[in-house]
Formats: sequence, structure tokens, C-alpha cells
Amino acid sequence: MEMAAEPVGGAVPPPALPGPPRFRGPRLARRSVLAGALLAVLALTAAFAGALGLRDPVAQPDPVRLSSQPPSAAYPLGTDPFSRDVLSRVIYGGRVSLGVAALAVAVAMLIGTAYGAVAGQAGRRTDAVMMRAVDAFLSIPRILLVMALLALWGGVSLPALVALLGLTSWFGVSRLVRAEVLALRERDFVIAARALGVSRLAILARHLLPNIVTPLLVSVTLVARNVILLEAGLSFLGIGVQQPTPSWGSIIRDGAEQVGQHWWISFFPGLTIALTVMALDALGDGLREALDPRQLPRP
Amino acid sequence: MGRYVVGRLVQAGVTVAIVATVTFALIHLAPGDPFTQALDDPAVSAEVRALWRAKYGLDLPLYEQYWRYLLNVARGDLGWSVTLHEPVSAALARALPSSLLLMGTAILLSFAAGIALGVVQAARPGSWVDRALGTVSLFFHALPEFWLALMMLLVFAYRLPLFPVGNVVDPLLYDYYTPWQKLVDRLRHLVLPSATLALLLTAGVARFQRAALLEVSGEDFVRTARAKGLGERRVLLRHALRNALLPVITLFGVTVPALVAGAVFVEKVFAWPGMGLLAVSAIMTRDYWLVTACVVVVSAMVALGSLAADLLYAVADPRLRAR
Repeated sequence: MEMAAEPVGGAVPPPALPGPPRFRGPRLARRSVLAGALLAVLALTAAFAGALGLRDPVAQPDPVRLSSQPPSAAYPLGTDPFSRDVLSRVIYGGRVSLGVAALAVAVAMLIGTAYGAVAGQAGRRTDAVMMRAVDAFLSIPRILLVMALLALWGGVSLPALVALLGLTSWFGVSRLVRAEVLALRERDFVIAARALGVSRLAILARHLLPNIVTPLLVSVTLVARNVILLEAGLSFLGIGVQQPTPSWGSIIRDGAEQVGQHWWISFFPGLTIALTVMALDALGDGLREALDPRQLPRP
Repeated sequence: MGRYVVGRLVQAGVTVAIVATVTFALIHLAPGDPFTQALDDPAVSAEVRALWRAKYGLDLPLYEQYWRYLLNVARGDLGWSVTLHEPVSAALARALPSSLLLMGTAILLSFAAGIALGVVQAARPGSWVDRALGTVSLFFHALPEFWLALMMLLVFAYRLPLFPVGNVVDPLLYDYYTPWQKLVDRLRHLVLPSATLALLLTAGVARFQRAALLEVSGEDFVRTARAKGLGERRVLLRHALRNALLPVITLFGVTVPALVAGAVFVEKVFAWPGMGLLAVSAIMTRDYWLVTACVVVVSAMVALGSLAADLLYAVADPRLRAR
């Protein structure tokens, strides 16, 4: 038998084997990342509005000569019928609109999660009753419900408005949470926990809630965009944020009468609302895709 | 099938009853009473106020008021509007047809356009057409209704004087028109408000239709149709679309609340005398019975809309009928 001759010099290195697949984590689509960046910019602008050196959004410097001026170098977005700078009103209005939305979303998520979790863990009768009530409330167009409440109580303060918006926005969240809880209840680890005698509350906190964080995150963007649009609509009708505090909806209201001649007053705040809501929608879409556990990680 | 229909009707009835109860409770929990506004005149003495309260049964205990209210609603007596000085049912009878015209047109337009767009997008998923239409859809879905209405007014009524600024018919000249001119006038006034509403809804319908069509395209029967050598258009329209239309029918039920909410703002901006405008002015002037009736009627419309969608779905999908 002939022995194969040893190659002279260095041995040929063996071909490289593919290593273990590297898990890259959830990937967010580029559109959603841009949306998230836009929202961050908006939030920072709103938060640090005072440091931007803007004109006073409430003062009326010269109602005779400066009212309803078209956009110019001095007033990039023009002035409104009360000679207020539209740019500064839009930015300070963003502070109000976004702030109200953030708080209302927090309220809605808290109530909705609690209600949905309780309904999901309750017996079938209780669950049915609870959900029938939610369905009934969902069938009333929210704008009418909130309008009726607001108008019957007269103009409300900002905290009351936040509470009202939050209290009318949790229904969808509760349905989502209930569905997830119902599904999770049948999973082995939950059944095991129940068998071990873990209390319902502990099961909820330790096992159920951490597993519904993902769909909840997506629904945060949904609730937020609806609350922003609702608050804008209410302020447009005059029953939301009260004058002279600027809010995107109320600035649009200021310019609604003369939209034919002085279009800039209504145009810019509306555009801002549209961009914000669009960004929230894109972010929500991206989050839903990225966090969907059924999708394989892309190579 | 018959039992399904009856069951759903009962469900809808229960929902409307709950809505009526909730509205009643909310209104009576609020401070003041219907006559705080109407009798704001300080010259009106306390005795007259007491007389009015007695006349309208407001001095009765709450549960008895509630019971009477339910009986009246069942009989069709929806109360008296203190601001319009007429029975509530008369005011509703005037406003409801206008609203139905506006909303019906908007739904037809939006579903036709939305389904078409969804099909176009799903025909070549991922192409630039798909992505461009998707972004445009996203933009329109995000717009505040009242802002879009104002911008439509600005562009199509003020800058390019193509359409009138508001109302259902020309306030001055309508009575002098020939029947044909009347029809044209009505249509001209209908265009902008219904287009505004439709633009908002089309985006949602298109997104949904696209997703449904893409899901169906993966099924076996579509692959079979393609394997048979049928043209892509025939596969898409005749085989895939028929099945992908079903989820869109359920979307119809969900769209009605959004439609009503949007209609409130559109009616306000375009001065369209429909239910939305009536509800807003009733709420602003604290016209209690009118507010209650408006909220109940609107909720009934929403419930009926979703019921119609469910029934349509049951008719369209033979798999449900086998139950």
C-alpha cells in the first residue's frame, strides 16, 4: 500500500465550517426606525420648548397690524388672527397635545390591562358580562361619548380632560389583554403554577404579564394615535383644551374661519398632527413585525 | 341560519338597550338639568322652574324616570327638544336622511376604491407601486378628518372654485332650478364632503384588502389555478379575490363607527345638516333629550351596521351556513 506523500511546507488549511447561527435579535424596519426618530425629535422639542428662544405663544403683541400675517422670515409659519406666532404656538401646542396624549395613554393602558386580566382569569359568566359591557361601550363612537360627557360638564381642566380621554380609550386594550390571558391560561407553565397553589395575583404578575408585554407595546402606539386625534378633534370643536393654552386642534380652530384666505394657521398644526400620527402608525407596524414570535429571524 | 339571524338581532337590541341606559345615567349624573340653559333668564321664578320640572317628570325618582324613558322610546316618543322647539323625532327625521346619503356615498366610494387599491398593491407585492401606495395610504389614514375637510375646502372650493363651500343645496337658487339642475346641484354639494370621508376610509380598506389577498394567494387553490395556466389577472380577480373579499365584509361592520365619528367633523366643516351636526349642536346647547336620542340612534346605526356585515358574511361564506 502506498502512503500518500506529505505535502511539503505548510498544511492546506481545512475549509472553513459555518459557525453556529448568530441570533441578531428583532429587526426593526427602516421606516419604523425613522418614525421612531421623528417621534423622539418631536418629544424633545416639546419637552425643551422653553429653551428654544421662541416668542410667547399666548401674548398678543399687535392685534391691529400683525394679525394673520403670511409666513415670512420673521414669522416662519405666519401669525394667527390674534397676532400670535404660529410656530411657537405649534411647538408649545405640541407640548400640550403630546403631554395630554402620553398621560391619557398611561391611564388607558393601566385600566385596560387590569380589566382584561381580571376578565381573562374570571369564570365564564363573569367574563361574558364584563365583555358585553366593553362591547356596548365600543359601539358608541368615542367622539360622541366624550363630547356628551364634556359638554354636559362644561369646559374641563386639563387633568380632567386627561382622565376623561384615558377613561374612554381602554376598551380595545382590555379585549386584547383578555384574549392573550385566555390563551396563556392553557399553557403548561401556568397550569403548573396553579397546581402548585400559586395565587392568582402572583400568576398574573409573574407569568401572564411578562408574556403580554409585546402585544401591549404595539397597542400603545395604536391608543396613542387615537388619543392624539381625539384630543385634536375635541379642541377643534372648542371643548377640549381651553384657550388661550395652545393645542394643535385649537390652533386649527383659530384658523378655520378664514382658511380660504389665511391658510397657514390651520395648515401647519394639522400637518404636524398628520406626521406624528403617521410616525406612530409606522412605528406600530414595525414593532408588530419585529416582535412577532412566529417570524424566523432574518439571516 | 334563521336562528343565527335572530340571535344577532337580540344581541344588537341588548347593546342598544345598554347604550340607552348608559346615556341616561350619564345625563342625569351631570350637574344641572335641561332647563339650566333654556331658562337662564333670572326673571324666571322658582315656581315656573318647578312647574317645568313637574311637567317633564324630572321631579320623579330616578328609576321611575328611567322606566318611563324606556317605555317612551319603545313607543317612538323620543322627547321634546327645548332648543329646536319641536319633537325630537321630527328633528331626527330631518337630519337622518342627509346623514345616510353622505355616509352611504362615502362607504360606497371608499370600499370601491379601497378594494381596487388593495388588488393593485397585492398584484405586485414589494414593488415600488405597492410601497408608494402603501405610504400614501398611511398618510391619509393618519390625517385628522376636520383638517382634511378644511384643506379640501381650501383647494377645491376657495382656490379652485370648482365646488360649493357647504350645505346640501344652494340656499338661494335651489327653488328656481329645473329638476335636472336640482340633481346636479345636489351632486355638486355632495362631492367634497363624501370625498373627504371616503379618502380617510379608503386607506384602511386598502391595507386590509391587500393583507387578505396576500394571505389567500398562498393557498393551494390559487397555486392550482396558476398551474392550470390561467392568466395572472384571471387568477387574481376570479379566484383569489372572491375569497379575499370575505374579510373585507367584516371590515364593513367595523368601519361604521369610524365613519360616524368622521362624519361629525365633516358635517361641521361643510355645514351639512346631518346627525353629526345635530348631535354637536344639541350637546353644546345641553338639549338633553336630543342628545340622548342622537347618541342612541347613532349607536343603533353602528349596531345595525355590524349586524348587516355579519349577515352579509354569513350569506357570502357557505362554510358558515353549514352550522
